[in-house]
Amino acid sequence: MLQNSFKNVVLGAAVVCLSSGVARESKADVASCASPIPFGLTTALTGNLALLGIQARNGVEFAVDEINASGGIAGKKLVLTTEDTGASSTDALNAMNRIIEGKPLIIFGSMISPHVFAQTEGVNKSETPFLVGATNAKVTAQGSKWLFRTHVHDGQLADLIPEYLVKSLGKTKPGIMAVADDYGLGASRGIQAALAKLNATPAAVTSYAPSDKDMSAQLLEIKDKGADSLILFGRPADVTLVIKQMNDLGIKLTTIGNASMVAQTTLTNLSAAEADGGYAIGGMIPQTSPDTKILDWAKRVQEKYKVPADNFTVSYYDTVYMLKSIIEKVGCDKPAIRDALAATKSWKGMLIDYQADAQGDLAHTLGIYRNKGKTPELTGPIKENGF
Amino acid sequence: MCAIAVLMMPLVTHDGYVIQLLNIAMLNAIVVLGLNFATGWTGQINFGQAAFYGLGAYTTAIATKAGLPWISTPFLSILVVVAASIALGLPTLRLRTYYLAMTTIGFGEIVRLIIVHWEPVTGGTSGLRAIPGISLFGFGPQGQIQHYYLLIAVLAIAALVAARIRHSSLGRAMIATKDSEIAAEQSGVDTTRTKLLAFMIGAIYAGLAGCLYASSVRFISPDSFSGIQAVLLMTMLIVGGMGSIAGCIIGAVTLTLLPEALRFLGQWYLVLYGLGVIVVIVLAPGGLASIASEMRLRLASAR
Amino acid sequence: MGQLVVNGLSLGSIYALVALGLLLIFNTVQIVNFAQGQLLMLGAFIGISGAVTHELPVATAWIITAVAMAFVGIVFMVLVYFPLRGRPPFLVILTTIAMGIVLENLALIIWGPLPVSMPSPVHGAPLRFAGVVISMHQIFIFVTLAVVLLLQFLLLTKTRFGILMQATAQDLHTARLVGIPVNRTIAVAFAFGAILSGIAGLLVAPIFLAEPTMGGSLGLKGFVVSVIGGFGNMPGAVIGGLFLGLIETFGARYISSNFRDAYAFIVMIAVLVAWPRGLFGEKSSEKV
Repeated sequence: MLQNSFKNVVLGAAVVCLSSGVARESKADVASCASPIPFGLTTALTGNLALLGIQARNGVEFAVDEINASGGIAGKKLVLTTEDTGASSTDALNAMNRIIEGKPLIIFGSMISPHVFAQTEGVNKSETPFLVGATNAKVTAQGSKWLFRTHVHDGQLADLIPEYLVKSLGKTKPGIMAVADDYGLGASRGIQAALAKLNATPAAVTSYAPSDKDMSAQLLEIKDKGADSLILFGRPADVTLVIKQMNDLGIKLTTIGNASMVAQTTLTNLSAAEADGGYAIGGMIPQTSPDTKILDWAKRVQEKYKVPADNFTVSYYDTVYMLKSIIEKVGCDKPAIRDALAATKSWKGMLIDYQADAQGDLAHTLGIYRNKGKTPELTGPIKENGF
Repeated sequence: MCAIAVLMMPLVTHDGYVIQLLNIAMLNAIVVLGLNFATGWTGQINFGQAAFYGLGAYTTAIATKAGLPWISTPFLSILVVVAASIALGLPTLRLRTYYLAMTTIGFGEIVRLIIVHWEPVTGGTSGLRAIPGISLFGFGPQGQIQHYYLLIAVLAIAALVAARIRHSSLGRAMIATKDSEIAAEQSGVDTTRTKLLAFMIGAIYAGLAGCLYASSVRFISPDSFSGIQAVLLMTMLIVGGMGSIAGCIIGAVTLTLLPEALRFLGQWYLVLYGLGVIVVIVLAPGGLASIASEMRLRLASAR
Repeated sequence: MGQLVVNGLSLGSIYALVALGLLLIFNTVQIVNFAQGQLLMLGAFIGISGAVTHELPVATAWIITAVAMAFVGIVFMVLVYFPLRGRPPFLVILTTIAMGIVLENLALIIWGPLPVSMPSPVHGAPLRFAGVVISMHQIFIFVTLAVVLLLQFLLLTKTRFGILMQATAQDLHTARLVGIPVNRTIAVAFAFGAILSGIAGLLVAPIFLAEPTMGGSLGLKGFVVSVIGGFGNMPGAVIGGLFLGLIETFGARYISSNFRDAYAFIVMIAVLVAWPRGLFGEKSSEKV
């Protein structure tokens, strides 16, 4: 028995020596990356958030497939493991635990903030770079050095939308309508705070449940209280209904909102008259680009996944390519990748440049859009204050 | 023998994922044991159990984040859920099946809406994170494995208490009420008091489980305690075996692990889940527990 | 404020239709079908398959939907009612909830999660008077509800079949003993119950769009209405539905839009505390 344990000790020591040797070598050399290179992704693929969550999968998977088709990273293919978070944060936590089991090099989180909040501690412990699109402003305020966000967030929207409304559109008494989930309510609070700083008071602050179909009560309240504009923060499915009902009720208000205002999913179900004139500030979408390559990309994504690409699809797609260029430079060492992400000064993505700030946010450029009939037009890019 | 296997589990699996999953399964089991009092034994449909679970979790999170010592949280949780269960129980005592079901659904929904919209206190839909862990005199379980053993102990106590209650006069009163309220009343059972106690005890179980959930997972958000979760808890009770203590545990563990194991089915998972529940209800209304005991009987008689 | 009344009533009419479908089934077999909302959703999607995907005239799509829903209702009965006869109502509730989950996720797989629209059977500019806008479709909703009520009343009281249905509802065993074709009446109840929800779906799709999860919330409100009105009572369902639509709309406008869904439950609980058998009382037996 003693012989056995002695053998085990020697074996163990040998393994430790070899692996540390390998670890030392892999630090700055992409040639010693594991093959295939493992990426992990958790997002909502089922449940009531699936319509949103699949865009993360679509963006990451499309990029991974493209990279693999052209030979991978330094000849090594990428393998993407995806886990479904479902709709509950508890499930999201379990999904993340499964991903961490597989010891991926990079972990992608979804754009659903409560899920990312639930998962961050676990990812921190695994010391893996965590790339997310979650838009709650506080996601990057958790103090995690591994978490990076590559999509614009509600903090920026909360500042820029009121500013644009008051300064560029000249409206000072907006009514606010937000979907009563983390996305809408978080933004609504930020917008109210920003309006206060601009000395503008909202005429009415309302919300609606994600499953609500009739928002006429909220619209009528906003109209009755004399609003001169409407700030609308929701998902494409409900934004469609709000705009329709606004038209049915004959309420004419300058409307500005998040990217849902110009999303394909929204515009498909609106008439040109209903959609016309709506403004949006948000993550940049591919459908308005003058570049035919980008339009072709959007078409190919839609053909493959049967849903139109949106701002999140672009952001996740860009993130994969950004990581590719980082891995090519620093190899498959997680701390080195993390440091490179934190040091990103200007990486050119499909529609915007990415630049890391002290908190881990890399996206600071948004788009201002206006609907001309059923077609969104890019009025121009707008940068976060200070960038 | 089963007990030894359970206790050895962390040595076999090591990893965080399965252990954390089992921890959540055990917390669910405690909640389902609580549900069993009102629904399994007293025959009162209760779709509000997830709300009690959430109330316990939120009370604990808010209290510890406000600086209160952890030891206070189980008591505070019990206080809150007892108050809530009385608020739910009193108006509903006269109600029958479908009305009772709807009322408990409504209760759950109202609690959820309050949590979602009372943002300054509950964190709203973002939830509450960085919740302090269990801490008694400076000591607390660290890591999933230590929590695992703690939860086994708590679950065992919960099951023992449930068994004691079952064999007490209260337990008999509960069963009598379920079988026929009129007959029970005539035999001298105070069905009103029995029903209310069943609700309260069930709520206490859920509230304490919520307290432990908040202190071990350390992040909570309203979507973990929604109406859908209430339905899931019910199915755990039914699939496991309504009225059977072992059934509660079997059902909770099975239906916590199964979704994870079957995630690869994607959208089809929920379809099969629904069909599976229907099949169990139709073919084996005593749930898995009854199947297990039947098998044991057959094995015994085969020898 | 008049606008709130109009919108509240048209929303309430949808709730009333869901409740009527629920009641038809309940009155006959003492089952509350918690998947009634999903039947509404199916009706909407079948209608859309006809009118949009296959570009049939809307009226044809409506007829096809009605026929399809009758079939769905009968399949539902076979899967849910027959196996669970005599079982405690609690298990039936769970079974119908499980059916709802199955239907909703099948719909997600078949039709995808994107919302889709359907044209209304009526066209024309909305009526405007006294600062209130009523769309042609809203008028159509009111008319449909009235027609359905009338037809149901006539069916149940004036036709031989309807009277058989009432007999079956009152006492299944005796009805069978007396030679009433009980299974047939039950099948009809399920079929019509499904058709009613399907019609509600067809009415909803043009204004609220159709997506697979639409059934949950609408179904739930339908149950609340049934409870408020008192199971077993058609006028109760309609008045309850209209009442709920108004309460929700006025509550969202004047109290708080955040708690809109809560108003339904609060009213329901308040009504039940005062009248444990609903505002208009049940007709049926103690069993519930």
